Amino acid sequence: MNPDDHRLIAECLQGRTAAFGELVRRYQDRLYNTVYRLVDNSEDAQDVIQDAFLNAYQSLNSFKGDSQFFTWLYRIAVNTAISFKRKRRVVLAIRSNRPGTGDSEPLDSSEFSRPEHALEKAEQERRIQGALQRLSVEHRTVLILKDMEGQKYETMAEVLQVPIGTVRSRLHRARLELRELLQQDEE
Amino acid sequence: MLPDRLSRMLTAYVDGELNDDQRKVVLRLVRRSSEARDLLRRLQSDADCLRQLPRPVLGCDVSAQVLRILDGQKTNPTASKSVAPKARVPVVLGLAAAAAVLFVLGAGVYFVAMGLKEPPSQLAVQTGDLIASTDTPELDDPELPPTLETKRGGLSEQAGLGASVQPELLQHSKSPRVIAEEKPAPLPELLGAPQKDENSGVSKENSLGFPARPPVDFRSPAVHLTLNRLVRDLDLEKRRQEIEDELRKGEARRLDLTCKETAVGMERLQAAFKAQGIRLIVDPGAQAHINLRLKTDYALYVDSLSPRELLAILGDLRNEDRKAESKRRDSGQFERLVLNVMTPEDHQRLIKLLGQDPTELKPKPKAPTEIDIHKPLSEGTADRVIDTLKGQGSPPRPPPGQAGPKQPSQSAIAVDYNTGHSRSTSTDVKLFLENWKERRTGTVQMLLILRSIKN
Repeated sequence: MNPDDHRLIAECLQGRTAAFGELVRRYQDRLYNTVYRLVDNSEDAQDVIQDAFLNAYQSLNSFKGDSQFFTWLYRIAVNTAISFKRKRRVVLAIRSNRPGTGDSEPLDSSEFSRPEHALEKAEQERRIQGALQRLSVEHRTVLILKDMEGQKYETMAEVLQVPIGTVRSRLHRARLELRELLQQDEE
Repeated sequence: MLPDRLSRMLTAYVDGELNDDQRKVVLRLVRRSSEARDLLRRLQSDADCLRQLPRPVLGCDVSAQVLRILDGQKTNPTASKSVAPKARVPVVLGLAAAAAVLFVLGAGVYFVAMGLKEPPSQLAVQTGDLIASTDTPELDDPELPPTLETKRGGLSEQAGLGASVQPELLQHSKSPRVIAEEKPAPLPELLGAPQKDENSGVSKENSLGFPARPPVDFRSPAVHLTLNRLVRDLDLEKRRQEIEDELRKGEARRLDLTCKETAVGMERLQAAFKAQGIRLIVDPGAQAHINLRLKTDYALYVDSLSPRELLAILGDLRNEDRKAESKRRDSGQFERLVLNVMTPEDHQRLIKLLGQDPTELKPKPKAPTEIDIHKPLSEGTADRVIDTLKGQGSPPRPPPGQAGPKQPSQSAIAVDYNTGHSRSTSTDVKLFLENWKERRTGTVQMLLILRSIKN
């Protein structure tokens, strides 16, 4: 484990909350991308990140240090996002007769300035993000962890607390399902 | 329809989790089966699209909010049991909410009994309003510790109102933000929408006492766009000069080059590098993708490239495109180039792609020369003549008046930019890293990304 993390965790356990603030600042940005893609809304993502850090703080004494602190934190954030998404799905089912207030997908300003290129890219991003959101939360999670975060099977298994074989199968099914959804869009 | 076992191998290939032997099996499979080839191409393309989704940036620092909540709870992680997440709202408030609901229900029954026949929907609205009005003082109370629970939990939820409660009531059991979305002003302000300081334009704290969130910035601050040009503009001396000037400003640059068929683009780049005496080593995985004509992106890294060499390479690419365009309009391959500084993120990505940091390489100590000083010089000369006659010595001199082919003095490496395959085991990457030579003065470290223009 990173010695700095180790020191900060020790200080937290001694009751110095400022040390935890340091850990939050260190990892909040890295967690945000994954959580944002899971919940598909920037404000929800911020809430989830906040909850995840609070949950992490409350169970910090259970962190044994046998994995990287970030991996442990990542697991908490992913689980918090998944349970948030499940709760939200129930609420949305009740509210389904109301117009949605989802975030519009941001455009990548760093993309090349040709307007039609930006439009094509935005359209492609919209399609892929739309398909991603139609996947089950388990399938979406593995795709985000693999393709967007570049995690290995082992780390994913650790984060999701499932065997590596399950990660492999989920990814397989997720890729085929995503392909099918995109195919439907194309048709 | 491909058998499940084979499609699993293809997805694992896209995951980058196969070893060298398994990868060879997959590549053999896709060479033989058009169905497998098609599926792999599509899966790879989907994965590329996911990888290229913009990375949103957290526009604020949540540490202040987290610390405020923790300070409000006055707890520490060793006493986590005492911080049971279920202890959300003071019991008194829960009871007050329950009493309010009972009161409304009672009132409703009373009005019905009195024959007023109030419509049920109106009753529900009234109930919701009452719940909301019970929420409001709680949320607006500056004395109340700003806990996570008060921020997110609604009273109806805390009061134990479950599935039997009407949907309208359930809607109010969600986070204050959701309530704010549903109800027009003044609730949104009350519930913590960012308020701007009229003088400074900076967001102030909201009514909960949390610092108001600044707008989320999705644009990566790490991107410093320096030059964005059409490749065909390289025909203009002015544009070439701009690139040269830009390259002279720094030591590490990233060049994004968009291309219609990256496999063709790679072949042209290989030839253009070779013409500059740079051997482009292509990783076997990337080579397999080139052979399969996959529409994927490639990363090329060269440790020492002078501005003139880069311009010559780009010029060669442009010449090829010009030839193609003279036969058919819009048949050029390369479209646009974007020159940026190499950011720390690019550097990290490069390390990940190569399995080692190429910018940290040190020159190898020179091996002792194999000249035997006790041996007469003439004998060595004779050995070299024999080697040359056998075809193992130095290449023959070009005929007088002609320049010989430029011998590769350095190498560049090309890998698949999107794949997750670990490169640390690739012999070609090792070869590139081992053959590292000290950087020449006036040159830059160049990461060139050949990007596929997706149709």
